[in-house]
Amino acid sequence: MGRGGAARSWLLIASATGSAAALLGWAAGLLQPGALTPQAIVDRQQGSSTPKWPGFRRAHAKGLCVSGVFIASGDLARHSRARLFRAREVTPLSGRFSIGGGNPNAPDLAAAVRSLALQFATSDGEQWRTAMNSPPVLAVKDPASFHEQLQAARPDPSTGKPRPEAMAAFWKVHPEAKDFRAWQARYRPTSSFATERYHSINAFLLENAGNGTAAVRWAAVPTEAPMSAQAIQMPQAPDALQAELVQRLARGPVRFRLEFQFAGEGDDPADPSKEWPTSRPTVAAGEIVLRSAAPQDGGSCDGINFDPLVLPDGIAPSKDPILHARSSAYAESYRRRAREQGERQ
Amino acid sequence: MRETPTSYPVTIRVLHWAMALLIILQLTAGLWMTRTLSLERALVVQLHQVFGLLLLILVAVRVAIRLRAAAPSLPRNMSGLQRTAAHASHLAFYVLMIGLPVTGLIFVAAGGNPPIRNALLAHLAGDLRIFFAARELHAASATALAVLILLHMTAALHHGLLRKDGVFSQMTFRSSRGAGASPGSEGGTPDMAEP
Repeated sequence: MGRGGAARSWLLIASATGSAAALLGWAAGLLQPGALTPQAIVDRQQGSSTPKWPGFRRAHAKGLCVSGVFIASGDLARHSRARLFRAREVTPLSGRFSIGGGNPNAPDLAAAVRSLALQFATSDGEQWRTAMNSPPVLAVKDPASFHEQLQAARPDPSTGKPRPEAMAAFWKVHPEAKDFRAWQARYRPTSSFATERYHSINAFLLENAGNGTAAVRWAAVPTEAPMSAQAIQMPQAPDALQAELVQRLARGPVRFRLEFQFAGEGDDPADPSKEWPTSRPTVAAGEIVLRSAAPQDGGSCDGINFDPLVLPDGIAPSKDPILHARSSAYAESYRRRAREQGERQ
Repeated sequence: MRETPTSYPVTIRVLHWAMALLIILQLTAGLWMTRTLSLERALVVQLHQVFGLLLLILVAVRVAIRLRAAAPSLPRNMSGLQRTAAHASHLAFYVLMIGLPVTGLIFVAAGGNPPIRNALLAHLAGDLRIFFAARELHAASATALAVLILLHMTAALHHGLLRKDGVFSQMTFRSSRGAGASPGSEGGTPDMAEP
C-alpha cells in the first residue's frame, strides 16, 4: 500500500471516530459551554461551588415528612381518567411540608415560602407526585429568567446581607412578575403549615376516558380557618411550624381540599406567572387527610424526589417550560444529595 | 472438531450492528438528558428506559449465542499484547453492556419510579445510598463505554483499511471472498496489496 493510501485510510478512521466523538461531545454539552443547564440552576441554588449543607435538597431544604390518604369525591372523574379520582377511591400518600431556601436550619417563621409536596401511590400501581407552594404563581415564566432571579436574590458574598438594589433591578426588567409581587404584598403567613394554601404553580392537562383534555391548576386548600400571625402569640422557636404541626396531628388529622381550577379564555397553560381569574370554574377532587408526621432525617420523604412530571395516566404535563425545567433541576439536586449522603457513609 | 469459522454467526453480526446503533443513541440521549431543560426531556428519558430494557434483552440473547458458537480467531501476526487488548476489550464490552441497563434499572427503582413493576424493584424505592451507587456507576460505565467504542472503531477500521487481515469482515456482511478475508489470511500473510 502506498503512502497516500495509508494517509487516506487514517483520514477515514479519524473522521469516523471523530464524528462519533463529536456526537457524544455535543450531547455532553461540550459544544455549547454557555448553555443554561440544570447544573447551572442548582449551582446558583446552592450558592457556592461546594454546598454549604451537603446531603440536603438544594431548595426547600428544611421540612418534615407526613403521611395519610387522599379520598376522592368522584367529581373530577369525568375530567380525568386517573384511578385516584374515582368516587370513594382511597389512595395512600406520603408527603413533606417544607419552607423555602437551602438552609436546613433556617427559622421556620422567617421563610417567605411554604410548601406541601405529595406522592400518591394509586391502586393500579401508578404514582402522582406534586410539589406545591404557597405563592399561586412564579415571578418568571422561563428558566433563563429564573436563573437571573436566583442571582438577584443572592446575598452579598462579603456581608451575607440581601441586595435590595439587585432585586429592584430584576423587577424592573421583569414585568411578568406583577402577579407574584401582588401576592407578596397581600400574603399574610399563618401560624401553621395546616392553614396555608398550596398551589401547583404550573398548569397540567387532565385527560378523561374519552380523550378529552382540559388545562388545570390545582391547590391544596386548608379546611381549618387560619389564625393570623397577629391574632396569636407566634412562638419564636426555630422549628415553630414543625412543632405546631406535630401538636396538631396529635389532636387529629389535618385536612385539605384538593381543588382544580380550569383554564378559561385567554389563560395560557404555558405561563406560570399569570394568575387565572377567580371566576374560573373549580372542582373539588377530594380530601387530603394527613394523619402523622416524622422528622425528615431517616423519614420516608427524604428519599423522594417530588418530580412534578411523575404523573398517572389521566394527568399530562403542559408545555410550561418552567415545569419541565423543575423536573430537570430536581433530578440534579437529587443526584447531588444522594452522592453527598452516599459518600458520607 | 469444529472448524474455526472466518466470521461470526450471522445472528451475532445482526445483533452487533443493531446494538451498536442503539448504544450510540443511548449514550447520546443519556448525556443530553442530564444536561437539558428542554420540553422533550421527559419523552427522551422514557425512550432511554425502553431502549435500555431492550438492550438488556438483546445482550442476554447475544451472550447465549456467543457461548454456543465458535468465534473466529485472530490473525497470527497480531502480537500477544494486541491479542490481550482485543480479548480484554471484548470482555469489557459485555460487562458494560450488561452493567449499564442493570444500574439504570436499579437507580430508577431507587428513585421510586421503575419502568417495570416488580416487588424487588419496588423494595428499593427511596434508598438514596443505592441510588447513589447505581447512578454514579451508570454514569462512569457510560463514559467508559463511550471511550471503548471510540477505541474499538479505531482498531476495527485499522484492521479493515490498513491491516486488511480479515478481522473487520468477521463482523460485516460482505462475502468472505473480500480483501483479506480468505481463509488463508487466518494466521497467514495479510494481504497488503492495493485492491
